[in-house]
Amino acid sequence: MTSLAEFQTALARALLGGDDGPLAPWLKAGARAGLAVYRGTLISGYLEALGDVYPVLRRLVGEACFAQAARAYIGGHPSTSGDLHAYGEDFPAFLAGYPPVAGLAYLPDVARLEWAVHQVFHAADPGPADLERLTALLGPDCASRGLVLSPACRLLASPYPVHRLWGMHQPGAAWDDGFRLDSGEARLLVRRNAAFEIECVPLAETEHALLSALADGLGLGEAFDRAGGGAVELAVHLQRHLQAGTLMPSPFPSS
Amino acid sequence: MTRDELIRQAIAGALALGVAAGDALADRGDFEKCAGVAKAGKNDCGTSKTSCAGTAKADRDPEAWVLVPRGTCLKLAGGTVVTDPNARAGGAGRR
Repeated sequence: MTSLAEFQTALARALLGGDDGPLAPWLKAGARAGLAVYRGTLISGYLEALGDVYPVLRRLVGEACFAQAARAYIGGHPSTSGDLHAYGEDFPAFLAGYPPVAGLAYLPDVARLEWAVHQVFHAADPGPADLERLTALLGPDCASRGLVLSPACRLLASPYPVHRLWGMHQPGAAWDDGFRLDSGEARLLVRRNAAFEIECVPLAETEHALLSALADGLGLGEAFDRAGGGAVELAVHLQRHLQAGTLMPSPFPSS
Repeated sequence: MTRDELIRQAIAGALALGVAAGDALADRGDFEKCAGVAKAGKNDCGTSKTSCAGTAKADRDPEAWVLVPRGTCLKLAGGTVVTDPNARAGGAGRR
């Protein structure tokens, strides 16, 4: 007697791993050809999903190399969601350990940026600012209160100027022959604007540190201390990002 | 002014000047808008539109592909390009 879980595991192994041995008891004569079409369709779907999320990566390494890397990833990373948009989160980490692109150290960071862009594009609308909650922060325990990052914003840091690389690979963008990968690190805010466009905003070092500390859940006072730099400068960053909607009061009352 | 007073003032200032209404970041002198990108036409149909017909080719032996990056990374200065001969189809230790 076999369980449903056993059958499902055997089917998943046959489709993703190419090993239909465990599935043999369920396969009728001639079923393997149908299984091959099932497998081909499934893998093409994943390939297209990854290609849509990582278009810059695809152009950087070329179609053949991208498809090869994607196949290697797909084989070991079954989808864990019914939503195909959720597929591919671990691709940047996978690339960091994928030998054929080991010489392209900036590639995983480009992939992280593309995943951030993808997430921000599909993020929930944060809605209008909650002025009541913001006003409530002004009490005597102000410095111990926290803020959250807007769902339509992500922070990213890289030793490489990946935002410029990303920009150069956008449709219609000009290629800068003077661009160098070793021309400086990137501290970025990836956000969606009112026109539903994705922007990469380079941040100052203390600005990125402040937003990161708040995104990590620190209270405002602790975040100021960890970000370093002058408190006046940090206060300017804080006010600006509150106004821009990057930072929001927590939707849950902090106790 | 103390740290805590500055924090309170920043929040009060944001409340006074308007929150998330304008585009405060875009007004910065050093703002660099890399590209405005709308993911046109991206939807579920776009990523799962594959029909069964003709997709069995995706089931071929993946090692038939060349693994060496051949895209725009070759044009980039300051980055390493893979030249390891093992990083090709059939190279040592690859599966």
